[in-house]
Amino acid sequence: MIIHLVNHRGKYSLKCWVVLLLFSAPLLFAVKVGLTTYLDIFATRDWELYWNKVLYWPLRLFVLLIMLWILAGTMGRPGEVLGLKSSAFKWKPYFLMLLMMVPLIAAASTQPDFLNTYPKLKQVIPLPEAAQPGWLYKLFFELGYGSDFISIEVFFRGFLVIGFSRWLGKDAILPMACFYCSIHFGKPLGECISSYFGGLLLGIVSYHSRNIYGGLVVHLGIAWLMELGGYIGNSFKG
Amino acid sequence: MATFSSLRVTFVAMRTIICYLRQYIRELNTTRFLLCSIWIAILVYLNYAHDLEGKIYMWEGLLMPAFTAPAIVYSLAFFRL
Repeated sequence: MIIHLVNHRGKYSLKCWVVLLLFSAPLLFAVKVGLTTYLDIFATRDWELYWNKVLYWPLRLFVLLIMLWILAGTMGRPGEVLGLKSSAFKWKPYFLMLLMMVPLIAAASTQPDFLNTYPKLKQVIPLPEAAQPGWLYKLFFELGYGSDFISIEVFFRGFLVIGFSRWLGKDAILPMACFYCSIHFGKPLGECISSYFGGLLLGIVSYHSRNIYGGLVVHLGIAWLMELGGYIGNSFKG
Repeated sequence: MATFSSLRVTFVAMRTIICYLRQYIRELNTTRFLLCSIWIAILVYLNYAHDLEGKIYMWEGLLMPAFTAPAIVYSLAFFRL
């Protein structure tokens, strides 16, 4: 497909560039996953553990954004390539899509493998003794966790779909969905399988709307609803 | 009145999303879609039945295994197109 595309354009350098970009994508994601961001600057051990858990995702988002911004700059205007520019974005239909997911998440919240994984908030429980009020420190964690979904949307729907679509058109959506599904391998089976179709759906929407905000609303909403589902489900389990 | 207008806007926008999906399905190459779906289904089976991810990531902390796994998935999915 790529060779056909390049022959059509008639430029060898473009072929090299597209192939290079293709392989840079998993490399960028690997750097994000494999990055060591442990900060040893906190007064006590429990605060150190807490803040490192909270800052784990935002630091990765920051590094990934810098790398993507530089790379996207070679492909065009970074804001447009990454789907960050939006005019007249309508958020209501995405909230409706999110609402449709509520029964599914409620059903998943009764499953043992789901309750073993969620809520992620378990990672910082018990909170450090001086963390008062507790809800605020739980909120910090959830905001940090939420920032991971910004990086996922920018990378998968922005860079891989909107960015690559200038060469590959809608054919950029399917490989992105495969890649996206593969990053869910450590998650419950139902979530992994649904991520393939979810990835396709979000890819199609971002491809047409040329921005990632709709996907971000749905994805972030689902993630926080799953946190809530896991929290309530585990409360009932005792 | 404002609620009715708001519902109408939501409905119209929702219809736009359904149009995107219809258009994609209409233009979708079924063979490519099947190949990608079968490919990812094999990987999901290998992962959940034989711990594929655990085997690939067993050298935890190294960048190469973390790069190799998604690179294989991604490039194979691309070249199957």
